[in-house]
Amino acid sequence: MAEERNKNSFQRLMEEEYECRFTLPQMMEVERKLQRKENTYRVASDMLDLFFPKIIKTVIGMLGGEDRDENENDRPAPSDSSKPYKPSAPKGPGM
Amino acid sequence: MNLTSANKEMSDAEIIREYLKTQNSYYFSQLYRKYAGKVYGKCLSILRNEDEAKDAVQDIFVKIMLNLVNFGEKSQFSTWIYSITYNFCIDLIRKRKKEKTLFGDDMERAPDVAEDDVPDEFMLEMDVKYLKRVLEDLSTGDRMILLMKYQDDMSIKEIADTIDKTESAVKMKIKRAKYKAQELFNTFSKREQ
Repeated sequence: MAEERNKNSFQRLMEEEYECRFTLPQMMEVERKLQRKENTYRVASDMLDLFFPKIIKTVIGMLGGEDRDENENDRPAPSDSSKPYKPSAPKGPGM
Repeated sequence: MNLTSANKEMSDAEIIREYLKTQNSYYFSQLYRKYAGKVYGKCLSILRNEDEAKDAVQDIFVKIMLNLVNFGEKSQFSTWIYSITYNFCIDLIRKRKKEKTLFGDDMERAPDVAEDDVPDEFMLEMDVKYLKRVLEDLSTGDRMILLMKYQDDMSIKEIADTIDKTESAVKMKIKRAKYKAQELFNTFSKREQ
């Protein structure tokens, strides 16, 4: 009762006229929808965590870069890695 | 942990920290059940449409869920949640009416000499029956600014941050809204005499 008396006219109006119109079934209905959304966001977030690194690597690959970490093991070994790399001499006609 | 007994003594800030740490939807439900009615009440008083208000509650709580990590505990959680609510309603009304000046540019003008400062007591002690009619007849911007000040007890700075106006503009807007409210009250009370 004392708490009720402490409320000003705005707060009493809000409780008496507006808040009370949000019925329990409505509240539960919105809560269920929120839980579904929360689950959707969670799944989306997990998927993103799982695939984001792969997507980034693919994009980098498409842009012409290379992902050293991933491709290092897949790359075929050079035929003779002990020899220093020399660019091949330009070949003219008849050479 | 027994969740039912766990949150009996928990503050909003503790519930939020626990939700962010565990991602257990039980904690978010606690926040929802505590504030859903108040958020709905505000949306209904601003939007004046029960279906829109219900949809707004859902969208507002999705926003809250996604932005909870940004709640810095600089203000009370209730103030933060109400700011989101007001901003959501402002955006909705602007989209609906294609109205850009919800809190009109008249806020920046100099005060009108004729507008005496209406005492806060007049607003806080107005009969609920009259207050309802007064708020219904005020513009949406005036209604919102009075709700922020007198219902939610938001500071001038918090209101200014919420509606993206200067503090002096907010003071002027409150003064004008109070004056209009008093005029409406006088009209209604005279009619009933």
